[in-house]
Amino acid sequence: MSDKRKMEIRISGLGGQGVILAGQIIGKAACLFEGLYSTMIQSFGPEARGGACSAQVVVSPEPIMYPYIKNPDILVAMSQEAYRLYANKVKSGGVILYESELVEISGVPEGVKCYGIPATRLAEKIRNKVLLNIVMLGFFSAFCDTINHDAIKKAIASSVPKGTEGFNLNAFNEGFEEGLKLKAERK
Amino acid sequence: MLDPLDNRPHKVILSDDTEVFLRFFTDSDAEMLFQFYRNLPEEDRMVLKDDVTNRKIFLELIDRIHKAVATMILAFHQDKIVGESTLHRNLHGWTKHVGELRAVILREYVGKGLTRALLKAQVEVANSKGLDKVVFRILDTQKDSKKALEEIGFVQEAVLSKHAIDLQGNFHDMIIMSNFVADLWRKMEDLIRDTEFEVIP
Repeated sequence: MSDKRKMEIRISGLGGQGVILAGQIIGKAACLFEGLYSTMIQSFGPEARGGACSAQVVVSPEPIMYPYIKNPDILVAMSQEAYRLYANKVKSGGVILYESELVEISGVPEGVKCYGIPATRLAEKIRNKVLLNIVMLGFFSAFCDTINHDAIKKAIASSVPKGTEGFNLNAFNEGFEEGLKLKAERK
Repeated sequence: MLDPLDNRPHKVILSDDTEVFLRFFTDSDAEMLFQFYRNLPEEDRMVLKDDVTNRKIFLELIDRIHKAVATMILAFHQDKIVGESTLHRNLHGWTKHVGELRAVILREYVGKGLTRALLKAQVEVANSKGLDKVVFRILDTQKDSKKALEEIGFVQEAVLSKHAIDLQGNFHDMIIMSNFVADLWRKMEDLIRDTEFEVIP
């Protein structure tokens, strides 16, 4: 585990986009399939569906003493509001991953890289827009060295309803491939 | 998940580490498939709904595949067919939203996860074709099949008493196992909603 580093992740979007489930899957992947520690704090607006929604996930090879995040290494933004609220908090050297058809980026903090993916459209192409969060998880996985993508796939398969695993893993792969491609292009 | 537009084989590792490949039927498989049916032991042939060991009926099945009212996935081990699952559907009428799933697996591959893999792939095919429900008929003696079906979300919906008769003249109950595939997405939405609601005091 020594080569793994602590990572702070904020996933944010709207209720109904699967923000919290995505956070839970990252935490599960880290704990159950990578042997790391993880914590998650979730919060959302007064109306869960359509309201602002955010998950703060910390994964670390060491016990986590404080579960809140001030400056994430990775921000996953699935709504404009999420980007507006949290983009300027991302630490230098960090990454913002955003839903490119829902979020317009501006004022990117110095030292932060931004990568976008039309996750909702890809999810609809695969089967159902409800897979948006899983496409984003795949995209996230391409940029997260601390948690192996196989661990996230295992966590997805064990978290989603029976019979939807194939679609969910397809959605993950779609996002993952897209992430790897974008990363290679920018190098 | 198998993509009907992409006929690349999909590898499945069985519980005894046997590597099996699943892929959609193509016409070049027809003769090997016919021989697969013909070589089935009598007891297994008894549970075939249609006698596909009869060439005329077999060709009718192939015709259904050509007409896209049946979708067949074959399982290969070392280039030999060891199992198949077929999703039958009506394109018109009051059951056009329902698919009927059938499967045949060689005995030596039963209980190793192949049945589950073949059925699961077909449930995903049903889902991708927009079917709402898939049914599978089994006899009361097919306990392994029932277990495999339950593992991928099928539930027992009905029992037809003494609805089948075996080669020895014994009656058997027929069990209708159903999978309401349209519910899968509702479950996925529920999962998302539940995780988001659960912290509200």
